[in-house]
Amino acid sequence: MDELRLLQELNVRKLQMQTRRHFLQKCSTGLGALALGSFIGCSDSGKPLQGINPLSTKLPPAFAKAKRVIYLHMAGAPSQLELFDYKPELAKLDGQECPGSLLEGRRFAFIQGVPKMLGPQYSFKPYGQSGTYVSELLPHFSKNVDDACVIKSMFTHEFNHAPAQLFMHTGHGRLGRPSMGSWITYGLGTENQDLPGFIVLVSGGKTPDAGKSVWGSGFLPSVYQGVQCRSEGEPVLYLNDPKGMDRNLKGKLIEAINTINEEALDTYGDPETLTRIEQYELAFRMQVSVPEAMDITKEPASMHALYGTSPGESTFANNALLARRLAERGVRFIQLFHWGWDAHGAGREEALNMGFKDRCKEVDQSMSALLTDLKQRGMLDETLVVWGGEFGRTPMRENRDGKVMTWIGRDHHTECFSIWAAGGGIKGGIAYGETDELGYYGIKDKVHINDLHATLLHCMGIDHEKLTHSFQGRPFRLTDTGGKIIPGILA
Amino acid sequence: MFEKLLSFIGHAHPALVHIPIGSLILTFILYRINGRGNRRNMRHAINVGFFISTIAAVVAIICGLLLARQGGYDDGTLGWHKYLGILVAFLSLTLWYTHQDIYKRDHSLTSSMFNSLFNLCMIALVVGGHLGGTLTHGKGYLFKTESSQVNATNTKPALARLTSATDQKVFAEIIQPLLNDKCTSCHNPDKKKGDLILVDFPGLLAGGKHGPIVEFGHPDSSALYINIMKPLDDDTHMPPDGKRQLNETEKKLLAWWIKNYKSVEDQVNDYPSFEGQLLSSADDQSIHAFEFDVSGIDPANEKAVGQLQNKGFKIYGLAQNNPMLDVAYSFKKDLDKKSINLLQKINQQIYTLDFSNSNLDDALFETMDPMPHLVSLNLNNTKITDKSLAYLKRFPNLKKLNLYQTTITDASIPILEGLHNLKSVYVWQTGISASGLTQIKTAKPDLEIVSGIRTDTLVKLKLPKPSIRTDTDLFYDNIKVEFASFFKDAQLRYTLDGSIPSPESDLYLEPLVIRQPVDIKLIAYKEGWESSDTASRSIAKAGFKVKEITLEKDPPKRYQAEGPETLIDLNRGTQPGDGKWLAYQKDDFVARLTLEQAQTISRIKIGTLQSAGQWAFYPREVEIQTSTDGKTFNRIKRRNYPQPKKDDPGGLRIVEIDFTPVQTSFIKVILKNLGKNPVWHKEKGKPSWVFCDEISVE
Amino acid sequence: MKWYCPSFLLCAFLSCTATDKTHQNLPDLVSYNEHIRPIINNRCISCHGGVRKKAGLSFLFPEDPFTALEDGKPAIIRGQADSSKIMQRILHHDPEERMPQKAEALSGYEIALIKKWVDQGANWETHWAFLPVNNPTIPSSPSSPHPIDRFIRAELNLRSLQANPQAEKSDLIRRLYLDLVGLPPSLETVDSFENDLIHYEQLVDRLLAAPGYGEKWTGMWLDLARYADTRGYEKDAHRDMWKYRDWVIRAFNQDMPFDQFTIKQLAGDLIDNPSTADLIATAFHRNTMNNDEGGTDNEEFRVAAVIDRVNTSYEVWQGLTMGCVQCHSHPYDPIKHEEYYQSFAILNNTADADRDDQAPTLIVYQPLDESRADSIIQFISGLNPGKNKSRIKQLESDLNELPSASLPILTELPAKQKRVTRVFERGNFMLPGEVVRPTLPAILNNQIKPDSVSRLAFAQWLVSPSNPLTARVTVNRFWAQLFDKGLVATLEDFGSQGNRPSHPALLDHLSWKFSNDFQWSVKSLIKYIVTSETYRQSSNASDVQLKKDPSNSWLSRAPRSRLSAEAIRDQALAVSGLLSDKMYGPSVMPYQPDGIWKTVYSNLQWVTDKGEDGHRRALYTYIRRTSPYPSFITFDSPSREYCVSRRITTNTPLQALVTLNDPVYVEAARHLATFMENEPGTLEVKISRGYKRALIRDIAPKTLQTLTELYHEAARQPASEFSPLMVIANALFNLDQFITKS
Repeated sequence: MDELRLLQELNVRKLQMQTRRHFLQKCSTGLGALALGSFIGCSDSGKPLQGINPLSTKLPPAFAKAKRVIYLHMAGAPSQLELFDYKPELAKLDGQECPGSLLEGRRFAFIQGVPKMLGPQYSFKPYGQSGTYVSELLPHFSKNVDDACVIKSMFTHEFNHAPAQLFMHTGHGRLGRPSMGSWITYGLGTENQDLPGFIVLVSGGKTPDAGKSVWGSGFLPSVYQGVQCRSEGEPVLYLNDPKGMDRNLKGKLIEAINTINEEALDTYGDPETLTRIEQYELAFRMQVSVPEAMDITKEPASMHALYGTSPGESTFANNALLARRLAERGVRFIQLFHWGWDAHGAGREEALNMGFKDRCKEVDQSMSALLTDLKQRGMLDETLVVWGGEFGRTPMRENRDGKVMTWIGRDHHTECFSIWAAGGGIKGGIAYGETDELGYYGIKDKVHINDLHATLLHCMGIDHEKLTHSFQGRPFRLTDTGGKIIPGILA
Repeated sequence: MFEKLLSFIGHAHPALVHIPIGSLILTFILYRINGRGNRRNMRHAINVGFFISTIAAVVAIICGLLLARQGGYDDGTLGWHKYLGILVAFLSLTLWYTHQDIYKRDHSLTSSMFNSLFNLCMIALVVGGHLGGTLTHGKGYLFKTESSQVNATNTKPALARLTSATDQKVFAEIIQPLLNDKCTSCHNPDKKKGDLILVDFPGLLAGGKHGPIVEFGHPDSSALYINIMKPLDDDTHMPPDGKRQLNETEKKLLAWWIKNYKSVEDQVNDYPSFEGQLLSSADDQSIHAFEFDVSGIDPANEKAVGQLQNKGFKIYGLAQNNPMLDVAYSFKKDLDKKSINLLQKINQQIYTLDFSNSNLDDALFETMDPMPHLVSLNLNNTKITDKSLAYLKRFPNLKKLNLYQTTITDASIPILEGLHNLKSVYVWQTGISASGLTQIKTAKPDLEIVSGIRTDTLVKLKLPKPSIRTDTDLFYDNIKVEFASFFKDAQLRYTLDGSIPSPESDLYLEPLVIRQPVDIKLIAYKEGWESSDTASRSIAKAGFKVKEITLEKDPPKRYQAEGPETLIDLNRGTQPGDGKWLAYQKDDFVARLTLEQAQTISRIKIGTLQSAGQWAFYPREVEIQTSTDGKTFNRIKRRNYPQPKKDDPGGLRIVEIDFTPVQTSFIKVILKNLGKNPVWHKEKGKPSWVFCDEISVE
Repeated sequence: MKWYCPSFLLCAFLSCTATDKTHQNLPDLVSYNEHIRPIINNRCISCHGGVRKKAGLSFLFPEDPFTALEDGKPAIIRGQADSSKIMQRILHHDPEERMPQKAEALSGYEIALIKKWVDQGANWETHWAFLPVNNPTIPSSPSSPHPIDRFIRAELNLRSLQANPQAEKSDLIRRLYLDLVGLPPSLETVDSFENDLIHYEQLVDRLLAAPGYGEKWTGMWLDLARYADTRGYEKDAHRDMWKYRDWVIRAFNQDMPFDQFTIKQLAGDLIDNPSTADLIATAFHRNTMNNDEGGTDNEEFRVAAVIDRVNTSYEVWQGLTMGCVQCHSHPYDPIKHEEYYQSFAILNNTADADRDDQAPTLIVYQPLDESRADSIIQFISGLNPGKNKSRIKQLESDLNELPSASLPILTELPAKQKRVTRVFERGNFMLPGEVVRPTLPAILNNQIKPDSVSRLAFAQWLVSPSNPLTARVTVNRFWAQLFDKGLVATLEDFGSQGNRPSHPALLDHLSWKFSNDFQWSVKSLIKYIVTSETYRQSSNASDVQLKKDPSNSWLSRAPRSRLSAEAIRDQALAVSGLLSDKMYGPSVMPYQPDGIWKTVYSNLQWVTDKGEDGHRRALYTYIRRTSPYPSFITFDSPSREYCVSRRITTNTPLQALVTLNDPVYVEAARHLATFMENEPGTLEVKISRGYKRALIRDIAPKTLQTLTELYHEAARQPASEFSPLMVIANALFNLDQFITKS
């Protein structure tokens, strides 16, 4: 079936190619039919139809509130108890031994024996009309609470970083599954044919624990994997012309290549050849469009001031500003990673009272700037912004090897953690879900990671149960076998 | 095929069954009229009546059995219906058979028996017929009142019903219909699954075989609610998997009712308002519903779409099975009248229109046609002025208008006020004044006006430190120096005498050529920015030229760099593996240098590094030997260094060895390897490395 | 009246949909596999299968549908469709009751099929792949002598398709070289082949004997073995695995019979007095990932590793998706939940335990030092420890001087330390269920379930005549390498959800020959295939062929497929004369852009190799799981986290950027340019030679013209290190025909 469609389409595109004089005229896939989605639906037969540009835009099954996602992942898992989940009760118990009931049959990464409870390390105040509680560590963000929805009852099953990050981004705790961004570009294609549909920006000096797999395409075709744009060197690997290759000569080169490839197309009638011709044109355009999009020197001083960038370095602030530039240009899924939140208290950088504060400084101004900026440009209502880590931190103080540690820290915790979401399709100014007074268990409206995914996909107009891909004999989906949309946080 | 025929016949039962009923009743009437009378033709008619009834009854029964075979009926009722049916047929047969005899003399006994048989037959007929009705139309069909009829067929979603009025009865008009929708198909007097009947309030109160199912005030301890909330795969979940489920709203409604229940007569306004109304519910189809009815709108003309795309427009459908389009022409500068005219071909379908950062201006905008369904228009950073806003009337449905970075002024305010459907307008970085803003706000209180941040209040940032680049770090006679800033348009001002530059200092225009050692200081300036920190770099002349340099032992392949010469190329390395380092594991580093001619030397600089992670440590000892003949060397200096500490950050370091001047041209430099990773090291005891990238003799 | 209209309509609808097909082509004998299984798999099994058994009904195991359900009656009564519940439900008038529920009704034809099948006694048939391999009769076809061609042509005739004529010699020799050794032929060879100085068969033999042969096919095997040089997960630290890679290369080059190949990798340590090589082979299952992240539960990740071993073993040798069964009984194939853990038990007693030191390991030496090390060891063992203490000490220190590596291998736990295996509920190792014994899935071995099966026995069983799958799956893999698509398209799944073979008889024919006539010799198998006309035909596609067989399932033409990531690089290096033919040894680090490796808590560094090692075959490139060699990933090579049977070929702009701008290809272009420069003659001649060197075929006039114009364009530019001829070379490396095998 697909194959016959392929044939029709092949001819249309052949025609198109012959009718235009020079390839630079054509700026998009330029196929009316494709735009109207008559060829590709959201859940088409797994393998990309040979010869059809797999990234050409596909229609969401339903009207989508959000056109794109900006996902801010705080790798290492920030402590909810120091940022969003205000626990006065816990403060009272500070320093007392943890009740055994909380420890029975549980596994922790480092905590051993009976740890002491650890009260919130920073003071909280309600902000905005919604009166959402935010800690003193996020002075800027506290101004944006009425645009954001804080979910306090997230929970996960993985208590080590790599698996937990995989779980957060691929819906499964082991390697090999496609990431959120891959699923979404697989489902919706990309809006801007001159840029990759799924772009990843990393700050904090390290890639996340789980490595590039958190933006990998798993068993989906590699064309859907995240393209890491780097702030040092070429923004995209091999993007720059080699030394001595002049730009317009490159144009001629590509023209020559495609002329010869068109001969091949006539001889062998292979649809792949046609796609290849288109991909070379796109590559040529990308060489201009990507550096343009990634160049923050184009931004006025005021924008740098708003985000608090440090030009020339790869900081979270710079990436936040870049995220907005990419969103403006129609990139479908923009993934930011900021490393260094693993506040065990094992060292200065890992201490709640030291490194953790610095991390907050690094992200607070810029993430709030991102929301403000998207809003004032009229983009927030169609851009879904999510912020969070891969799990939570224990209400107990970490006691590595059963000893009291120099620095204050908390161990990994799966039972509950806080994230926030804002913009496209999300109801602002609410706190969703509740945890017990110790901040140990979620007690109301618990949100499973699959549920979060289901809801994100829903905001993008996709039914999470319909977006599937068959691999090793069974249909897989981002929400694996679970996932329920959370009506409570939808606008 | 035969199977289908059978089921076909089966389905005829409800039709055929009316024949025997009719004819039997007719026969009964005739028989009564005839009474003891003995009119021949009457007797004939009655006889025929019995005959027809019997045949028809038998046929109807056969069909009935076939129909029953397909199942789906309540066995109890079915059983009775079946046997009564058969009884009727049997009786009518007997009646037909015995009919003749009753007219014979002295058969009063027979005739009275005949009468009672006939009455029995009629009773069986009525009861059986009624049961048949029950099977097909459900219990109590016969006695249903108008109102309950309405409820039973009322298919409006529960929520819709709720919102209609506030004085309506909660149970009768919201809950009972909900139960009828989702529960009564099994919980009716007929099927009574779990001995529970939900067709009316008493039934609900009575509960089922596990006792009462509602505890008013406490949904969470009411079986009715609990079972509904159980996970679908739970066996006791209601309604069972496969049956139509309650959606989120309906569940919330039920809880809301149980919680607030006072009496069966409660009205909506007796209760706290139902917050479920605010929630859109996930499994409600309505959540995917589009904001207006698009059924009347045809799909867009594909040709026009294709043409527009080749002109650089991005055009996407909004959703599958939805003709509306999302049209964008942004970050492009060759918009022309032709394209604008093309838009006319799809003006019915355009839902969002984005011209942001394009060359759209008043002239082009003027030629734009009305778009009845346009909801969102983005004019961000276009050349349009107040003039254009007048044309906005062509878009009656406009809800979102983005004007940021345009030159529109307060003059546009009246027009904005005139757009009735407008919900939000974006006027950041426009000519709209503060007073103008307040004016709109007062005129249209519920219009969202986004005016963004005031950029002038923001704290200026410091410019990044500019960089100073040279091909080599040391030089013999001259060296080229380049400056660079992250911002190409930043002004770079510098001094060479070590004094701090000022806005008046020399402006960098082209690379400098340095012939004497200098102490460079450099600062970057840029509009809107704090000036950068001072970049400084002192560039020194290199030591004596080295004729030849050799190593006692080849380093491992990975750390051979460009051979021994790397050590005198005047270039420092930055990190291991950058191809500028020579290194040994376990072994010491031993290099022999031969100067171009004998010199008096008093100092040797050695570039080395430490990086615990890579097992690389500064030498534990540095020894300098010289020789007069290049064969026998004798030590002139040795320096020891302490064991590296755990918290020592390490990094690049230049080791300077000073000694009493000596005249020679043959020098041997020995860096003693630490040998093993120190005790505090993660991999302690493993063979460590010693690194060297540059040696300079002075 | 209103209520029964629908049922009349439904009735009418059913009867007419039925009439259209039913009467004509209802088969006389309804076959379960052919007619019924597809219906069940598409319409019923998701609710009535291994995962969900609605109303207690399942269609998985032959006995299932005939045993009484919750309500006491079976779904199917043999021979009595009318009284079988299944018919009642699929015909039910009430849509709520009708099966399949909440889905459209079965078509009249499907219903008729099921009815007839039940009436004919509802004979159950085992899934084709589980039936023993038989030796099918070869279709008699006058035209073609080669059996393969007869099988293929038979199908073509049915579809009135014509096989293509033999490909042009240039295309053919390039195809053969790329397929057998993964490299293009040299110009000399091409000439001698085009001038009939050497025959096709001779070429084949030559290539099968070439060392490159082993390297090429090892590439395929390493995807299955999920081979990598690091451990995966957070730290993703280094691990010495290269010795195993070398073992595989040697095995292929020595044409080790596939059954031996199998046994050594799965249980080399358990065969009688195993050689070092046999131990090295067992590293196959040490390619599983380790998590050295702080605070991880070693047992959790040891279990994850064993699970991966079970899944991999079954995917590689049986083409079965055991992955499903670790959580619940197989949704589609007749394998029970506990049977998964019975296989798990077989592999659950190896000594390794996700330890940071990778133990148990084997000390191995670099190729050059190997002989020396061996002789020393020999010598020491010869010496008398009492007398020559000091001598021995000396020798031993010499031995330690040699750069060595420690290769993780499999060893079995001693009997007293054996682990007890329990079923994990829903696959969660925190929820152990009841104990299971190590044994084989019932469906796959016709004899009675042995009580206890060792790892060795497991391996031997895989390659025993009684195993229906191994030969089929393996033959299919090699076929897929040569024809771009397997006879069974889903290489990884021969289960009932996988595709049915396009040529069942041919598949069995090959499997039979492979395991009997060829005695598991891979080289013989490959030779047998590539000598067929089907393999040799041209790949041009006529409109008719495109219309009748767009995806070329019937092979009326040779496939056209993009080269693998490895082949593309090797080819560029080869035609530019840069490629090093050095074999074996530790993985190398050719040029890679800076800043690719930035992994947490790890000091692993990419140190670019200078000289020869910068130009080794792609096979030897260092693979780090969390950050594999970028240009390979771009061309769809997997990151080796899990076993991958089938690479999905994509076609992206990033690929264009690699072959256009990656310094590797620029350098290659420079060398190819020099080659052209040194060719005597006019510019046209130079370009034509360069073209032939790269693409093997002769240049077409139009192409030559295009390239010449390009040359002049380039010449007009101010001189730079990118010479005009380099531009031409750069263009050649980006031609569709260069990165595609036709």
